[in-house]
Amino acid sequence: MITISHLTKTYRGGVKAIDGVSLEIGTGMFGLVGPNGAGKTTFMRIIAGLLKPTAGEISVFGNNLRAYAGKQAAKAQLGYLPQDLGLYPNLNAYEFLDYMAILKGVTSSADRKRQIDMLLEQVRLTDAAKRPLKTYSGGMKRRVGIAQALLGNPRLIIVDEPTAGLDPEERIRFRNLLADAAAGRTIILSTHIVEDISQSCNDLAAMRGGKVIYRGSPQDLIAQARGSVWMITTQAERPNGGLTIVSTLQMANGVQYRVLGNPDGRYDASPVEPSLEDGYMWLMAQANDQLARLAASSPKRETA
Amino acid sequence: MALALSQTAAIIRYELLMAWRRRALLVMGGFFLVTLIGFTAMQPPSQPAIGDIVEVNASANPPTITRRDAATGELIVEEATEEQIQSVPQALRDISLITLSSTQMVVMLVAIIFPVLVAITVVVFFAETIPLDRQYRIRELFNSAPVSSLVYLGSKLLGAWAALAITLLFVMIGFGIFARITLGAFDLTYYLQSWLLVVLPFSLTCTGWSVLAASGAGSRRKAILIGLVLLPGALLLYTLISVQFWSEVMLVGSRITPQEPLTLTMLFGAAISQTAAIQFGFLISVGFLFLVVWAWSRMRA
Amino acid sequence: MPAISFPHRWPVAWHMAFRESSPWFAAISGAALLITMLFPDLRSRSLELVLPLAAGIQAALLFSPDDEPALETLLAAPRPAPYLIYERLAAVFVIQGAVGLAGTVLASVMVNIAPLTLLVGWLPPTIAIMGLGLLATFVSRRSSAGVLAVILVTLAMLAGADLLLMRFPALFPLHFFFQPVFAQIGAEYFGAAPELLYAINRIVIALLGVLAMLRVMMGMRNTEAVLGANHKTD
Repeated sequence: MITISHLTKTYRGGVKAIDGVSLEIGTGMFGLVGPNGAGKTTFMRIIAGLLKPTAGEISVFGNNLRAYAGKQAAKAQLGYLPQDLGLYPNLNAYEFLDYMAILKGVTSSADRKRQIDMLLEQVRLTDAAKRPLKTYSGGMKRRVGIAQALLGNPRLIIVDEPTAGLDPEERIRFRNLLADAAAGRTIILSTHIVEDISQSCNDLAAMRGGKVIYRGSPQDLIAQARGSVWMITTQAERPNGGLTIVSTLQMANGVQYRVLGNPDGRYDASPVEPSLEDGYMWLMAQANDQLARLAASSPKRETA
Repeated sequence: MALALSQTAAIIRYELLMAWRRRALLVMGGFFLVTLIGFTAMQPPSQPAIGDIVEVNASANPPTITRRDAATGELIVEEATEEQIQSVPQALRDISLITLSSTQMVVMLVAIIFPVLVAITVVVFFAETIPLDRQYRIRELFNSAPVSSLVYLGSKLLGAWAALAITLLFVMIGFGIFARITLGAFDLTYYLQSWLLVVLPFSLTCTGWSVLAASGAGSRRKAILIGLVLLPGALLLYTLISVQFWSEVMLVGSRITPQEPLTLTMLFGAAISQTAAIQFGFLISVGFLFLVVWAWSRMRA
Repeated sequence: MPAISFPHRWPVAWHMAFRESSPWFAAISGAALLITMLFPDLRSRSLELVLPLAAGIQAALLFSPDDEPALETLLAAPRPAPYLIYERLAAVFVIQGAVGLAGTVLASVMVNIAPLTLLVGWLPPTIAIMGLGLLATFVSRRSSAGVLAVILVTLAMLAGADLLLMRFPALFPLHFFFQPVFAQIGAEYFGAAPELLYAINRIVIALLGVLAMLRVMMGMRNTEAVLGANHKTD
């Protein structure tokens, strides 16, 4: 169990990346979504013990991350795949995984070999295992990164944009791999690909401006958007009037728009069943509206 | 503790492997060897004799001299006269002057000239050891693993130095063979002492300074500049360590005047003793190491 | 009448070139010049002791393919890749040249030597060592190798080249810090005018530097090699 209470992170220069977040994350897949700059990466780096929070408490499996010993104990149970992953170009995949396994505390060489062989098989790199990493494609490097995150049988796995750069087949394979690994573990998955969350997570949080603006199941988020998603086919101009266009498709009889909002009578709009992506867009549109209302209602400074 | 040890061993092992694959060791070793050989070739021919005498064995009964025949160049051993024994300074009796001359030459090259090269190369080259991890974007993985800062930094330092030490040992063997062929027999003890007591510890200090001081640098370029800033300190340490060794070896002979008093007098004035100067040098280096580690830990806190 | 086509003139990114060439090196070389000028024995040679080394290190840090963050984007631009080197080298020339010219005027007043003589003393070795630093970094893909090459060659030339000339006088054109007095000794040996020997030396070492720079610029045309993509599979 990961318990986060009133977590705040302010960077030098006063940029508040995390603003009073409180969460509890249990076992299973936990999705984290949000726009760029929402604070997702900072949040995950704090849980991984890479960054120190400015305020608040965080406990990973009972280990307080503000204490050095607690942080080291939590790291011993962590598998981490950063967004911007780097590898040693002169090592091959087997050597790199062996190296990382030792650092993670897998001291038995037989155990290391067994784990590495299994993971290489799972990420389909067995044949390329002895090639230097500098000869790997972007997707292959990503797969090595995924394998190293799973090394050492960690109880907590944090993966930041794990499927970026993977082809669709690999993406699905990896999603399934994570879902299989989630039994008895906590996996925090941050991604911009909402499809990945909808296919693998039963619990998610959406962040914006350093705050958690939604916490619940993907189904609940979808349900919130129900009645707000429409399909409009038109040969006229793009739909407007407070509508958010989610997708655009050129058709023989005009342009088909998938929109969020409440279209007026000008459009021949038909309701459609929302997806998680619609739910996410609906959530962000609500947050935008709220921000706009707040800005409008805040007292203006009197001018002389 | 067991985990820390296995992590240290792994980091050292893989640092060595990567250094080997980057071919940096091969290039560095080749460069060291070629430079030493080049310096040897540039030395003027030695004069390993006092007059035609190349050895006075005063402790033998009866005392003997070995002299070189002026016409044929052959070495002749014969009974020494009192006059011949007196013509050779006390310190040079019972020593082969040919061996002494070769020994002086190799010691000068290895313990006096070579460390300058080591200092320059090491502080610049190894400064990028830790910034390289940042450039490869691997630091985040290290930081997410249960590896303490001490283990990470210490192992990186030892890994870099182990790679250097192995290279230096190969250069030691290679140059030893070359020197034996070109200069003739020399005292192996002094030769090994030059490497093991001067070059290797000195290289460790330089590597330590360089790796630790540049550990906070954000890029390789900044790390190199930090290395350049350290260079004068490394050369000062060289003056203290290397000169001490030189004087000890060279005190045996009268032909090469020990330069130690001159250099140390220039640096610290005549009052300071040789031993105190060495202690001072070690204090500087050890103190500096602690300073760097302290600064680094403050930076990380 | 066939149209005459002129090679396209590409714009030069001066601002970036100066930023990338570590302009604060000017302050270091300026300070080092002033310090060396405090010592009467070094005064006449202060320019050639400081400027080649400073400019060489600066050139070695100019372009290392592995450390260039936006290398792929830069090479994909329509402007020919060698421009990257032209503009950065030009920036170093401007920076160190300004320091050198100011130093030359100052030194000529202090030691009463004609400015042109001083200029001929420091400019060719500066070009040579800059070329060496640039080339060593480019070939090894590591700035540290370039910086090391610059320091070691400079020190070796300062400490050992005179000795080498005593044994092998024919190597005089390669001595980076060849002094007019050596040209006079060489004149007796070769039976040639000392001015000629000195001029040959200056031209040869400046040419060596220019050749090294040209080699890097030619190398920049091979974008695949610059990218280090010889082993890439994707």
